[in-house]
This record gives sequence, structure tokens and C-alpha cells, in this order.
Amino acid sequence: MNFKRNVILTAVGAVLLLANTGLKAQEATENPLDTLARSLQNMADDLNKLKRLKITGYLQPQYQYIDSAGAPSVAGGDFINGTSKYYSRVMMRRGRFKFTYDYQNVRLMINTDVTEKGLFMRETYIKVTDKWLKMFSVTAGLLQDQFGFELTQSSSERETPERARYNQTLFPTERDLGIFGTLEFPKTSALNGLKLDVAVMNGSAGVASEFDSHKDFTGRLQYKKTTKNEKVEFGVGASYYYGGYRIGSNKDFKPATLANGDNGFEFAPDTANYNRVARRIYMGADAQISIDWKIGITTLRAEYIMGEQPGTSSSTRSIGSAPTSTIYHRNFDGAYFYLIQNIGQSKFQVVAKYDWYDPNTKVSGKEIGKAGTNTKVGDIRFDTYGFGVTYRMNTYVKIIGYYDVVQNESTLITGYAKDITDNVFTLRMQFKF
Amino acid sequence: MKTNLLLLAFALSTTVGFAQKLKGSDTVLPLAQKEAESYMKSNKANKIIVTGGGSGVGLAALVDGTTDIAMSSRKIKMSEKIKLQDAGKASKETVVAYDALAVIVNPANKVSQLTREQLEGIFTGKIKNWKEVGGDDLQIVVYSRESSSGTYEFFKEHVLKNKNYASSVLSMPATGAIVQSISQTKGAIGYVGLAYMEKEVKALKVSYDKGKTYVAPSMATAKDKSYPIVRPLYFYYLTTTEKSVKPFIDFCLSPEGQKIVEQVGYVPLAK
Repeated sequence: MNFKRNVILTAVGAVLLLANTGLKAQEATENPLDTLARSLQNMADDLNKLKRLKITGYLQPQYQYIDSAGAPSVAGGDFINGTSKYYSRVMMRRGRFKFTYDYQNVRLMINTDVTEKGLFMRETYIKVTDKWLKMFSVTAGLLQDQFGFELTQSSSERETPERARYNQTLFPTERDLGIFGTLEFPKTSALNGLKLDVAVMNGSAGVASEFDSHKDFTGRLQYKKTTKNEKVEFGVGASYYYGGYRIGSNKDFKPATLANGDNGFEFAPDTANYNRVARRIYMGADAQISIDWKIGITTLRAEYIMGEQPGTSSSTRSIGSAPTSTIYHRNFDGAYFYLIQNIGQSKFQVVAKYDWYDPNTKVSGKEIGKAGTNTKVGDIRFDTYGFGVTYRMNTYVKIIGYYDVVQNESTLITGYAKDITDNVFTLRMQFKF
Repeated sequence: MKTNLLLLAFALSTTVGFAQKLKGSDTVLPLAQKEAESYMKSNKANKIIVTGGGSGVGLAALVDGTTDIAMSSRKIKMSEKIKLQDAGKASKETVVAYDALAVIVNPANKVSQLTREQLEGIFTGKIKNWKEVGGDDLQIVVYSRESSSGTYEFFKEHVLKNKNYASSVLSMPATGAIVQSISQTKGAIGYVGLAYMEKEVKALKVSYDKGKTYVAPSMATAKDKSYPIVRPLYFYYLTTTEKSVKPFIDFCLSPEGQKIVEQVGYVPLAK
């Protein structure tokens, strides 16, 4: 009995011993290099996931002063009426935080603007690029308007504090809700350098949901090339916008030569006007050239736009809600010219810019405000001359000092009999990350 | 184990943090590695770390400050110059060596020389069969580097005169892959740097004067400039770090450094 018990106990003990040894052998045989490789692989996998998310942005705090308190301005908004002759302000012009998530051929982007005015959404979209040719992409959501060169250039890269007046008027938020497609020819194609952007948008300036069910179309064709010696880079583009919004009011004014020979507006009281579409039709052309030579990189840019824009008596600004007041149909044009000069290879850059916006090309000067013409403040042409210096401290920080000389045409309208005092000086610091 | 890993990571980061960094062209990489090794042997206090990724990667790293020297097999682009200026930086360029590009075929291919015009015809897809250029009745299989490569761009500019490669051209990610493919395919043709020549492939003589004279790629013909497909290899650095990178760059340009250039298979600068 004891012998049998001892044999059984010994056998059980041997099994346990062997099992334990086997386990210990498994634990003991793992190569430290394998462990290291596994840990590194795990770290690499985690890092690859984190690398899909990028956070970029820029801050633009600035100081400004304007010649007269209360003057209207497109240099970051009107100046509030104050008591002193020269009105100044400090503001956070832009505080952009952009979150981009890339996975394979899909991108999600959320772009916010955080200033003293609050938190605003600038862009929110999904972009899908074709996997095979990598030539086509489709983007849907709240996205940037696709027209011309300056409108599509980032505010962090632009050499002047603000866009040209006509861009701020026709595209006040530079954004809209819609879908846009891009065709861009790759390096291997004979058409490399050519890019086509087309979009179908609400036409509601991106500030609200669609208000009239009428969609706007916009497109831009651009070509960009660099010379073989990498000394000259040039680009040209052509843009087109076709859209409009439904006229809520039953009144609208069309441009006409009146019975007395004056240029002005003719009232069209046809009740069929109501809910017709007031057309926004823009045609534009742009060109840019950069030359790297002895004195530093020189850049010249120019853009011209013309077309039809509906507005009110006092403004031609594109609207973001259903119109209810009288609509004025106007033919407009506008342009800008930039001269940008880098000072050798130094951190300094100087810029000179001229832009004009003529909201009504059919009337000018003392025709505006003439009795019986129905011409108003919204018909006044503005010319702006700007000069500035930029100091690029490092990869992240630059400082811009810029002066705008704003001139309006002299009219018969009260307050605009001559050029109003609305020149603006801007001192801006930008931090970009 | 976790502690050891952390210590290893810390040691590496400390080393990387104080080392001079070179980043960029995969063509320049083997040369830079050899130069760095020799330099560190005689300058033991210095540490140099060399990584590839492509010319574009190196120049982007120069803009964002994560490399001291950008290695490049092409000239800096206008857009990169503008980015550097926008970052408040000024750069300098130094040519450290030349790279001769050899056009290679399978050793069994009886064609041994081609004019530039014939090469253009082959790589753009106009010439599709070896019999059109004096070879056997055999379809031409064309290999090239990928479009992101500086070597691809140089060949397109200088041999194809900026005409586009045929859509049937097979893109390979690395020079080694081109050599291997051509050695295994009778009708294949491609191009590689002279430093990557192997006995498993045959280099063609090239004529740039419509067949009057043909020149084979070699160190001698690249040096005396009789071989036409030669490109400079660059180091780009910032003027603000010139003092710290100059000693290494001067070493690369010295007789000892240029001897290493020749040993690696690149073409040294003229004396």
C-alpha cells in the first residue's frame, strides 16, 4: 500500500516537475533582442497611428490705427466710433487651429478660428483622393471658395495683412458649403502643372445653411511651371463663378441709361421679380511670376475680375441670408497688383500692392448720388495703395508693418464728396506652427 | 527590461541630440556615410548621423531645422527656396561630387551603343523593339526610378529633354531593384549611377552627337567630361550653421575626401 502510494506520488511529482521545467524553459528561451524588436514594433505602430493626426495653425495679434474714428474699413473690420481723432485698436485678427487626420487616401479636416469675437468654424470637410492615378479628389463640407489666386492663398502666407477689397466683398467669409472636385496632373503626365478645380456650392457665404435652394457653380483652371534652372516660377489661372440668390423682394433695380441721359438704375416693379434669381457672375484671370536673382527673390502678381453682382443700395457684399430689401444689379470690376521683394537672403521682405474695386462700372464720380439716378454708397469705387515690410524672425514668427492708403472717388453723396480719411496702419506679429 | 530599454532610448537620444545630422538623397547616402566614417575616425569627439529619404525630404528637413546638411542629387527647387526665405533662413550650396548615370542592359543584349535620340525614343515609348536599334527582334522592357527620385528627374531633363516617360515604363523604388530586374530580363533597359554598376549588367556607350562618337561611362570619361550624362551631387546648409558644418564639408572637398568619392564610385571634383 505504501509502495503504491509512493510510486503514485513520485509519478505525480515527476509530471509536475517536468511541466514546471517546461514552463521555465519557455520563459527562459525568449531572446532579449526579440523582446526589444517587439517593443519597438509596438512603439512604431502607435507612432504611425498618432502621425495620422496633425495639428497646425497660426495666431495673428495686431495693433492698428485709422485716420478717423468710426471710419468703415476692410482692414479687419470697421473701426468703432470713438472720441479721439486717430482711433487705434489691438485685436487677434486670426487664431487658426487646424486638425487634419489622414488615413490612406482619405482626409478629414477641421479648421477653427479663435479670437476675442469667439470660436468659429472655418472649414470642416472630408476629402477623398483616387488611389490609382492620384489625379482626382472629391471634397465635401464647409470649404474654401475656389476662385482666383489671392482668395485661395493662406492668410498666413500672404504678404499683406488683408486680401483685396473686391475679394472681401464678393467672398466675405472665403468659405461656402458644397462639394468640390480637383483634377491635378501628376509629374509623369505631359500636362503636369495643370490643375482644375470645380465646385457646386450653396452660395450662402458659408455662414448659414442654404436659404434658397439655388446652387452656385465655381471653377478655376491653373497652370504652374518652373524653369529648368529653378530660377523662375510662373503661374496663370482663369476662374469663373455662376450663381446667384432668389430675390425675396418684388423690387429690383437694373443698370440703365435714363431718359435724361444720366447713367443710373431703372426700377423694375414687375411682381414676377419675386423669387427670380439675382445673378452672381464673375470671370477672372490671374498671373504670378517669381524670379530668383542677385537682389533676392522678386515676385509679381496680378489678378483681374469682372462680372455682375447683386447688392443693396449701400453694399455689394455677398449675402448669407435670404434678401428682403430692394436688390440693385450692378456690373463691377476689380484688380490687384503685388510687387514683393526679398532683400537678398536676409530676413527682410518689402511689399507694395495696389488694388481697386469698382462696384458699378456704369457710373462714376459725380454721377453717383445725382438726383433721379438711384445711385448710392454701394456704387462708389475704392482704390487702395499698400506698402509694407516683413521681418521673418525664424521658422515660426514674423512681424509685418503695413500702411494702407485708401482712396474713394468723389461723389455727390453726403460724406463722400471727397476722399474720406480712412488710411490704416497695421503692425502684426504672426506665430505659425 | 523596461529600465534597460529606457536607458537605451535615452542614450540614443543624447547621441542624436548632439550629433551633426545629414539627411536627404539616397544617391548621396553611401558617399556621405563613408565620408562621415572617415571623418569621425580622425575627429573622435564629433558624431555624424546620416539618413536617407530622398532629396526632397532632406531639403524639407533643412527648412524645419531637423538637419544640419541636406544631401541632394538635384538643385534646390524654387518652391523650397521660397520656403526657406519664409522661414527667415538663408542657405548655401556646395557640390561635393559628380554622379555619372550609366544606361544599362542585359549582358546577352547584342546592342552596345545608342544615341541620345534613340534613348529618348526608347524611354518615351516611340521605339518598342530592339530590332529598331540594331538588336534582336525582342520587345524592349523599360525600367526607371520612381517620379519622386532626383535621378528620375535628371534623366528626364538631360536625356529625354523633358519629354515624358512612356506609361509602360516600369517604376522601381531603388537602384538595386533596377539592376536585379535588368540582369534577369533579356530585353530590359534602365539607368543607374556608376557607383551601382554590377557585372550582372552591361553599360551602353552613349552618343550626344547623333552617332559621330560614342563614349562608355567610366570614372575617366566622367572626369574628362567626355561622357555626357553626369550630374552634380550637392550639400545644402544654412548660413547660420556654416561654422559648425564647414569642417566636415571641407573634409569632403579635401584630397582625402575626394579619394573616398572615387572609392565609392562617384566622380571627384576637378582639381
